[in-house]
Amino acid sequence: MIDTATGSAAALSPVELAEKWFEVVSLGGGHNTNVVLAGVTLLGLAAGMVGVFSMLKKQSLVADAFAHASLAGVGAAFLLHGAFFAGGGRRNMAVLLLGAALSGSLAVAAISWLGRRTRLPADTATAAVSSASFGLGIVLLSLARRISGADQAGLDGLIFGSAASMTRGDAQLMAAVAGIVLIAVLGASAPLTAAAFNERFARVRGLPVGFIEALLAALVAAITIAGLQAVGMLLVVAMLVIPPATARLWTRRVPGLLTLSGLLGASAAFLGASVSAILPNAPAGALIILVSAASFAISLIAAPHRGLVAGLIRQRAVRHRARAEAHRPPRPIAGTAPGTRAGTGGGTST
Amino acid sequence: MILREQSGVPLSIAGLSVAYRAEPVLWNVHWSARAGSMTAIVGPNGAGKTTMLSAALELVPRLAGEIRFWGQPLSAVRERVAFVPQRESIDWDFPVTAKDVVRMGATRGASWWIPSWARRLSPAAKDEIHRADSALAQVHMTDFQDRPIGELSGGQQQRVFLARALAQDGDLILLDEPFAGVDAGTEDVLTEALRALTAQGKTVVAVHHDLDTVAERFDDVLVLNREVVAQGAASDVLANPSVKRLFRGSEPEFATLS
Repeated sequence: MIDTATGSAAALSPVELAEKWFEVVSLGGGHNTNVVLAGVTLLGLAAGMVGVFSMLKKQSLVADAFAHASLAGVGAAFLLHGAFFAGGGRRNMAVLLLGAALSGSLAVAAISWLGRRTRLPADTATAAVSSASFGLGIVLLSLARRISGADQAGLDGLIFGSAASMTRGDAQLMAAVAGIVLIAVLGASAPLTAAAFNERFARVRGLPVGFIEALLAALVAAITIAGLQAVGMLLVVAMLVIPPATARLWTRRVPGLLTLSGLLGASAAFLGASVSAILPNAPAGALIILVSAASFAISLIAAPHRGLVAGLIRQRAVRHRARAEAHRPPRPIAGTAPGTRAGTGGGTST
Repeated sequence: MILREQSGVPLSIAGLSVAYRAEPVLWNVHWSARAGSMTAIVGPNGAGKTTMLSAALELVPRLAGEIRFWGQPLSAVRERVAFVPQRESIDWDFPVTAKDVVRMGATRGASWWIPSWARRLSPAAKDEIHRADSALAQVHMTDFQDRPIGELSGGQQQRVFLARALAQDGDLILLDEPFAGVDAGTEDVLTEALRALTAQGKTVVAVHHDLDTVAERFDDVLVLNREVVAQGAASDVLANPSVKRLFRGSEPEFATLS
């Protein structure tokens, strides 16, 4: 895949490529390309926003497990569909996505059950279910290949994503799902925030915490399923995880975090998808994630307060002050034991 | 258990038992809060103090027992019951400011489902903002309202969480270890704010860890050790020999009692 990509890139000079890219980003790449571009961008926006709440609830890995487990559903759906409709081979995207949603949900339910009913640590349960279901997915998929050699590409496309092979209808469906998710996140942001921040408080206030959690799970599932075709099941999780992590470095309140994360997700999606449109065999998903990861790396270094450079500067300043103090005689100690309770009383938080 | 006319009793617990898996942590607790009073729930570690609050608020399932707020189930009187959870349960790196936290206390019912940018336009917003602002002022945190909670000191954090409960304007405030790990200044601010509530006829129930300060800060005491050991006016309960025996030498902070 990558070989052919570089091959076609080599055929065009950098200037020609740049011209082609400008054509695509200025929406001159043809109607089909524009629809895919718009759909992926909207998906990036919605994923960036939903991902904020996964991050705040420390459930990013659950989304990852959902995505991994969806492969088993795709394989099973393909086999069943082939068995019932003797034509075999011909993929039916709706059936495959339904299978993905079912097996993903089963995996999330299994993780939640293990967390409640056993003493298994949450991350262990998540990793175990995630890898086990992915293993099942691989087996089912190879069975599917053995039984009907046809149309492997359609299935492979769901693993690594292939925005280029999306039909206009596929892209419109993706955009519609992303749009619904976006509206739901914006509408429920206050309850989602309250439940993520302090679940016990939210329950006492009478918020339907069970419903809110189910809603978040459903939104994550919808994004994952909607993104399977364009980005692929292994990479769609990154659209949920990286933009919120980047945005968190720059913001200190949920509304700003949501906005920035959405914008970062949308722009990474737009950039990645547009570059993949001029390099026909370069997978959009991988490019989107690389753009996203680059913005995270830059933010990690440069962000004020939470960035690495800012942290080093603060550390140096403290060391400087401590050394300057060391040359002066110490101040007399005011009191003894009770003094630990008096004073300005910081301490515990740091 | 006969539930008599209880509309005047802010919280009554009858025959409450709670277990985690097969391990009983509370056994057959009978207790009621006196309206307009400040009650401390004390007891050794693992005595079920936090569990009792959690069970009363329907946060943990109960094996048996009946909980009534003014004679009614919690669901009927939610707006009147405010809760301040333990500091340890909070993620201090969460991206909220002090003001955001207090606003969550002020938000009621359907307002939750109006996004924050649209809520400014709703008629309930003015009242919510007012309650949040005056709660912040009451705990002397107005100057810190725009700080992220992680950048506040332990005492300031505790004040913000009390302000969240105050902003709800409930009639019964349940607090889990409000004085744990706070500075002397905050202790006074918290006590003053809670006293102001009881002066208005509201009821305060707090899990408390420091037996030394119980008598000066609280009117009533409930001593728990899985079961009720003693209850009543603070001075009576603390003089009770079985209470003294329970705490003698069990924990450093209780050792000074005898």
